[in-house]
Amino acid sequence: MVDLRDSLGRRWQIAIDSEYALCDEQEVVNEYGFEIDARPNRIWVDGKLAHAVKVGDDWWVHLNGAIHVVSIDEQGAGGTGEADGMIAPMPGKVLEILCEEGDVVEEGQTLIVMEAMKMEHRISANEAGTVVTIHHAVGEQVDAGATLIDIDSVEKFN
Amino acid sequence: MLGPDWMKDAPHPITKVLVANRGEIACRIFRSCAELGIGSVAIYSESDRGSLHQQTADESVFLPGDSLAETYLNIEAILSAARETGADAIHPGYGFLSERSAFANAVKEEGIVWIGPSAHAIDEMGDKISARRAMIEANVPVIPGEELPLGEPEDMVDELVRAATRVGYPLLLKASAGGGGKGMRVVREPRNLQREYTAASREAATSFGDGTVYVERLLEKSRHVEVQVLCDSHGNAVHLFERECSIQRRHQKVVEEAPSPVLEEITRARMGEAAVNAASAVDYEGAGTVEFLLAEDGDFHFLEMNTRLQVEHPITECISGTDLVVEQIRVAAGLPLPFSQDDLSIRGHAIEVRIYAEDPSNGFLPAIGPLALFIPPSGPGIRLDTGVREGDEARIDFDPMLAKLIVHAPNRDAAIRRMKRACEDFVLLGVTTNLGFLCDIMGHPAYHAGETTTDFIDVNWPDGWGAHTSDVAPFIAAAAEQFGLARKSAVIESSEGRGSPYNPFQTLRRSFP
Repeated sequence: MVDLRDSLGRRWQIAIDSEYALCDEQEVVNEYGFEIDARPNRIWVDGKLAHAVKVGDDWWVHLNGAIHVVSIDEQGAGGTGEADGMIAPMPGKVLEILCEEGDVVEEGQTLIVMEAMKMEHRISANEAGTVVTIHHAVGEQVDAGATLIDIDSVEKFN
Repeated sequence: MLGPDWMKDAPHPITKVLVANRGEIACRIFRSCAELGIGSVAIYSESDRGSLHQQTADESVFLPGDSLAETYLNIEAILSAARETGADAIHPGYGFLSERSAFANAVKEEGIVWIGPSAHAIDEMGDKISARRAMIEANVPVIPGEELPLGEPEDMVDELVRAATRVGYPLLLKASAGGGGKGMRVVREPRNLQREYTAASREAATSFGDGTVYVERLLEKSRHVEVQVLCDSHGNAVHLFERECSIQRRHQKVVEEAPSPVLEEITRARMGEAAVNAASAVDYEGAGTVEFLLAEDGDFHFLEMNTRLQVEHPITECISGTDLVVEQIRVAAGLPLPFSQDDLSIRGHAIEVRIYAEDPSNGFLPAIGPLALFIPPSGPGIRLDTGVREGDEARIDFDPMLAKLIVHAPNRDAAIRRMKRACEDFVLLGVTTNLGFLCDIMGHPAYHAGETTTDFIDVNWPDGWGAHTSDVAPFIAAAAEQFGLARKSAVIESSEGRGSPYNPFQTLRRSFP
């Protein structure tokens, strides 16, 4: 049994030798035939050639002219973070911080300007609230996925 | 060392070319050098150690340092690499130092042949203001706009607002020294003017060392059409027809084609003539590109002249049957052009797409990751200009462009179908790219209809683009996981010689149910 999550966030539970699989707890028919030859990264699916390669926990699949990424979901349900933080969408450098801790900000307000690949990117507040923590200083290099700013949302106060 | 036969009578013979660049363009130039029978030298920085361009050249010289200023922009280090290897010519490629007249001069002072136009031509065309002036003199139409004096953003407000009002909204703020979409900002409403000015000015200062900004009217629904010119040192100048580069995101080109799907023969002739006149006005030598904005009514306006080889030059090579790098080298060696305007004609249709490591479903943000699987398409009329290969990595250090895919076919319809097939066949896994998005552009009725205006992406995907999903992919991943396809190393390092842990004669055939 393999636990997977696709790019839409759907959770799949698939055992290849079973007639049925689960997609978001719904039963779906497993009607595919697979064939593997001597070469790595190649797999036949009902007579069609697919390519697959694993990078980290992600399976990258090329089939019928399209590319898909499906992640091994070790934790099972997991779920996306409901953290009130704002996340760096790509690795880069913090150019400018346009708020201070304690500031009340509106949704959509630009809080940080980042630079990556010589281009500037504006990071805006994902909700209205109070800035609790700013995790990085101007000039710092941040990784993709790093939390930049924590916001206490307005709803919490109401 | 002797150059090839055709170089014998050249006034400035070339035997070894150093390419002051990296990535796909360096590789592309090395290939032409090899075909001409002349030597090639690569320069590379620490992060390019073991890269394709380093390994494609005959020789390579390491440039120490972490920043671009210490490596690919370091004139002194590049000249000493040329001295060290005995290179007698330098090709700058595009970007980096390609449009720095100081570099052109330094190369010539060193007694090395500069494969490019004169410093004078670079300066004249590189500064948008003087280029504009030269074009007005040459009777080439220009876009309404004006330059802002350099100053602190706070002191600039009045000046800025006045200039913007004269030019009119929507407008474009551009770095005077800029290009490639950097330092360029669209302002649709007066209230965003100051914020965008600050950003444009800062980007310009970081990227080009010059924060001067130029305000220009944004002409929407217009097409970006550019004309390739080629001039020798004997006064001969030709144009090699146009390229249309209208499909852009963040003002960077994504899809280019030649010839333009809409240009009428009479406009083509007028534009070609204007481009040749523009080049001749600055005594241009070598390959250059004159960019125009083509309005809906058929009027065209001069945008700028790029005094270097363009990223999208391969589509011109396809339809004109030329090798522009070979011609650049011949011209630099002092040889005359081997053809006249009458010898040139358009053959078929060519399309180029730029494959970027980026996420088109998330605002085209740059992506990083390994090129775990990299199997390019092949077949007649397909060309791949790449700076990477399987096992390399898309990193944050440089531009996110990985490769250019080019197709050539007898007509536009066939070229589009060929490109769609080629994009679909490209197995590039391990890093997010725009390949799926490119497939969708090639399948879009608006593209087939030739409606390729610069706002093509915004108009056709107003809510952004989303990747296609598949209900089969999870099963493939599950099968691959369960069958141990991830254990690639076990295959490569199998002690029983070339083979695999799976016996190829006993194929694992499992059909369920």
